[in-house]
Amino acid sequence: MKKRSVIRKFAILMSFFMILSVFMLSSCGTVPEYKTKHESGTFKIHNAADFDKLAFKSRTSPSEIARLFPDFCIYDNKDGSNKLDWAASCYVDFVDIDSVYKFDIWFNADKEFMVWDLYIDSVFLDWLKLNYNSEINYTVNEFGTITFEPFGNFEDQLLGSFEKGELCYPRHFVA
Amino acid sequence: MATPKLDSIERQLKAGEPFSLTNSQYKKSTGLDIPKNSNYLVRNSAVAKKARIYGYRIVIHEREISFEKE
Repeated sequence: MKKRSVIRKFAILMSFFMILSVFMLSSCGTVPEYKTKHESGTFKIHNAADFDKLAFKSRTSPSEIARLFPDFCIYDNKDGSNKLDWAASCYVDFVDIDSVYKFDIWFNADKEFMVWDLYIDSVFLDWLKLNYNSEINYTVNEFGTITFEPFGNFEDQLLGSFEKGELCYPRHFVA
Repeated sequence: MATPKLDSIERQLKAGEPFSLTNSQYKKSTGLDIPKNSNYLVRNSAVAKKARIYGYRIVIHEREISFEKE
C-alpha cells in the first residue's frame, strides 16, 4: 500500500514536470530568448500615451520590452553574416483604427535594444497626425516603415560602402 | 516626424559605380545618423532597401585596431 502511494506521488510529480516542460517549450515564459524566428503577441494601443511606450531607451533589455508583448521572445538573428544580433517580431494593434501592424525589434549582440520598424499604411499615418504630438524622433520612409532608433553616442563607429552585387541575405528578412 | 532624404544617395546609386560614405557624409546627405545596428543597416534599413533597388549591397567596414609584435 505504501509502495503504491509512493508510485502515485512519483507519477503526479512526473506529470507536473511534463506539463511544465511543454509550457516552457511552447512559450518563452519569463526568459525572452529563442533560437529560431518566433512571432510574439500583440500590444494594444489606445492612445498616444500607449504609443509613447514604444519609445524604448537605448540599450533597453528584452525583459523590459517583454512587459508589453505577450509571449515575447527574441531570436538569434545571425543569418548570412558573421555578425550575431537578436531580433523580435511582434504586432501592434491600434484600437482606434482597428488595424494591426507588424513590429520588428532589433537588438545588438549583447541583447540591448537598438532600433525598431513598424510597417504602416496611410490610415495609420493619418491617425498619427491626428493623435500624436511628440518630440520623439520617429522617422517615416518611402518604404512604408516607421523607424525608431534612440539617440546614442555611436559616432564614427561605422563606415559604410555600397557595392554592386546581389544581397546575400534571405528574402524573409525583407519587409 | 523626420524622413530620411535619400535623393543624394539615389543619384550616386543611379551612377552605377561603387562608392563609400562616412557617418558624417551620410548624415549630411540624409539628415539622419546612419543606423547603428549593423545587421539592421545592411538588411532592413531604408537605405539598404534603396540600395537593393539599384543592385547594390551595403558593406560595413568597422574601425578596429590590432596590436602586432614587431
